[in-house]
Amino acid sequence: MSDSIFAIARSGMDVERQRLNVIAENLANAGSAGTGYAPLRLISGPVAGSFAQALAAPDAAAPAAPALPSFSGVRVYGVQPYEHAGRKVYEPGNPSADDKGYVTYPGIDHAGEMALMVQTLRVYEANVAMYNAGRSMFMRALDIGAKA
Amino acid sequence: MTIQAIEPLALAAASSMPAATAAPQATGFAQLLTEGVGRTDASIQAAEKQLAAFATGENIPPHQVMLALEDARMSFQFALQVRSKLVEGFQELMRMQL
Repeated sequence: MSDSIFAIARSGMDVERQRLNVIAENLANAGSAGTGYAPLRLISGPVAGSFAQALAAPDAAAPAAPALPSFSGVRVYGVQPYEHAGRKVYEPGNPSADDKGYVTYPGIDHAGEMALMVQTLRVYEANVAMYNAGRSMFMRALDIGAKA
Repeated sequence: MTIQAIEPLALAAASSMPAATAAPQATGFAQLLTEGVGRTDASIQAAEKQLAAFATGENIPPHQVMLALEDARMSFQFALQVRSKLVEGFQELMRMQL
């Protein structure tokens, strides 16, 4: 279907799935002591219009009919480590302990990760609902002219 | 006093109409229909491919599979509606008294 609603909802689902991947990676590495693992955050944003679109766009000064910008959803910009201070624990018996007996665990914000996990799930669900709404609209359009 | 002729209604929305009347095109309705059926078939086959890949354990996000299936379903429903309209028109013609 060339309908953009479906493409936009799909891009949202793709991005949220990637975000959940990153959260899973962070939580899985919560116990990676002494590896210097930096917790990651997924950075996403709207798909910027292409250069050709920007050129074709009417000048702001020219009085033109307000055209709707073309929406193309969201995309992943990349992953970025966030500011963290490693959690130091006194474990002299641990092989990855430093000379004072401290082990550095990745400074993962557990509460933040869990909250983001729930939020990601909700956004994913919202995208699914959006897709279903678009589908309902399509199916209603097919009902036009149908015999009762 | 001169009376001006009534001008024909300016079709402001003419540009949004299909250009079928504006330019004589080589594509007939039958060809359009064939193309549409071909597209529907392609989307069903794409869904089948995704489903097979998912079932054999490839790392595909489940929503991609479901979206492909839904896409195929919507294409098929659309084709079905076009077919019903065609049959309706045909039956209407056959009922005509001569």
